[in-house]
Amino acid sequence: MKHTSYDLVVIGTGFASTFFLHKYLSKASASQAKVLVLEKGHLYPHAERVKEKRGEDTPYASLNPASQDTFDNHNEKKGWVFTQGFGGSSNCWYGCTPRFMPSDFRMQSLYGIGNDWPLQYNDLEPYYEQVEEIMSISGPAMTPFPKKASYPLPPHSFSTVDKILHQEYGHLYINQPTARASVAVNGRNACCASTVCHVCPVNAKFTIENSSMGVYEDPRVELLYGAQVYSLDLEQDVARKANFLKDGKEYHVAAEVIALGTNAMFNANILLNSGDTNPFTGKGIGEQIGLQASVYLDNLENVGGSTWVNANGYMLYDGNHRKDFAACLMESNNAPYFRLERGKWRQIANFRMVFEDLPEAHNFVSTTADRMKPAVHFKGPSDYALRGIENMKAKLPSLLSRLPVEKIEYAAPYESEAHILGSTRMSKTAAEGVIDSHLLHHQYRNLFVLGSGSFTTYTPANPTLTLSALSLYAADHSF
Amino acid sequence: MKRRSFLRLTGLTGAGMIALPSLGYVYTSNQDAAVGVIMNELHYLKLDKKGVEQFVNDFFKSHYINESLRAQINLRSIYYLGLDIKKSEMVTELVHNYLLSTDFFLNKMDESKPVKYLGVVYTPYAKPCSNPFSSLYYPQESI
Repeated sequence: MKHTSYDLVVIGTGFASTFFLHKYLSKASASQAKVLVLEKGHLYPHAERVKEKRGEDTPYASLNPASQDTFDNHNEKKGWVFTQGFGGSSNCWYGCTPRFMPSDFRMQSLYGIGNDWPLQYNDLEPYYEQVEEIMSISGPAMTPFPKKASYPLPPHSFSTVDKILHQEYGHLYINQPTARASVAVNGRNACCASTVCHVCPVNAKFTIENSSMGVYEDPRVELLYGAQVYSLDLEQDVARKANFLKDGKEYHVAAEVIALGTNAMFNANILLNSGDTNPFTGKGIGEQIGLQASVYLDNLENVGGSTWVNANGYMLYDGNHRKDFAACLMESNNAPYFRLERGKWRQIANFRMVFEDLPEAHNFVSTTADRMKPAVHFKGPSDYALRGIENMKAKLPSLLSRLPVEKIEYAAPYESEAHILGSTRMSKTAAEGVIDSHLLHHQYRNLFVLGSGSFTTYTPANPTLTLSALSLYAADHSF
Repeated sequence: MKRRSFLRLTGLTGAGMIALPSLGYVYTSNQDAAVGVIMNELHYLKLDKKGVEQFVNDFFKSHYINESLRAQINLRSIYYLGLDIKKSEMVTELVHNYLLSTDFFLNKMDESKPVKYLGVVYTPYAKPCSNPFSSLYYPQESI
């Protein structure tokens, strides 16, 4: 550490931190800034990750802890999937980047569910566009959400099944907008449908490591690896210092501004360790819920198309049904699955059906005797989400009536959607949440709490694009 | 208790341990059982037996079945009793993975053509861009 005090201390190096820093560094007032970034883990380069996947030894494999060893899970039936180390979950995401729908920000006004967000779709629209440009998103011309500019890259191709559903539903069934490059761009290769996007074999997916954003190479930025932040000094409504362990030694660093950019579990743990008494801190943690629907087809081969998430269906997403049950986003899956039945090999289509859920107080983060380790308590998905699943099962056969469906089989819900949401929710006032529309803590006005923990309600759409846009929005409006 | 209920309760392992020693299955290797399962399951395809044997050898290299007695009994039980391979995820994966590791899908699932092992167990990390159902093999204009 070069200094004892910094203009900005950022904690974490995932999407939320990186996009926040990107905008901060671009602002004129930050030209002489001293910035310290504290990363708990280490860089595990993409090429080394691929080596590990090939079964080859790499010394990098043991640098970062397994995520399940970093917290106490009080519900063994519920998994929480994320990745530790430089770049955070950009190293395990699948690159799915649909925008939210405008209605997602107005769930209380429109449907009487949860709360409205303190900012709206139109506020975020320019920042969505900036993130899509930086990530070089591949996407279609028509989308169910309003969009002013075209996607930077052309869309991935449809499979035969996707084509039929697109013909039937138009802009409600689209090539998925994705950070898996459809053509080579910015040092990334073109996606070639390997369908193991968590570690892309050809480095086609946007990650923080391959982002070309220049954030961590910027001379104003000092990056410390292995720096485990456990608390902040919060005094007289100001965040003064970040406290961390590195190589077994205690450090304390002062800052004018602090930005918490770890995930929703650890942001809450750090705040709780620091004595934050906002009643919503740590409350409402959750995820969307997803399950696989396997659609067996009669004499229709499901071929062509691209990778794991090939298309998105919005037919069960928005509408007045959200007063009563959860929205559902369909993801068509183009992995090399098949039927072991003579002559019917690829006469099958798999969809992941993803449902929104609600932030409920009985799902929460608490501290433990180990200050590094949060405890996560989760009782289960809401009745609202479960009713959404039942509605989907009732409606899906008619929605797929253009396909020659033999039968549909549903798997049990996945244990995790790898999207941890809502432990430091955004609100207009401190009486309803932890942070404001600029991601600033309602009480500590120099403390940003970034990431998907900020979400006021959970939509069925993937969170990364939105949390990245929120980081750009917050930094742009604050500096 | 009906036989089906008994099997469900005890699982394949228990049933296999009771029923199979008399069939001499203890003298069969995992490799032989795996080759037999694949040949039986896909009997209507023109399989190259040497290729199947090579695939099984490759598939079982550093596979957990080498240390799991339960997995070994499941495999041999399915082979000797002619059970549905879906009773074991591992055995189902074995057969799926075999087909993905051959030229069967590259030949557009033509059941009349000989099926040849391509020499590498299917994984996108050993062979990227090899999803045989993708647009690389079915161009957009052809579907």
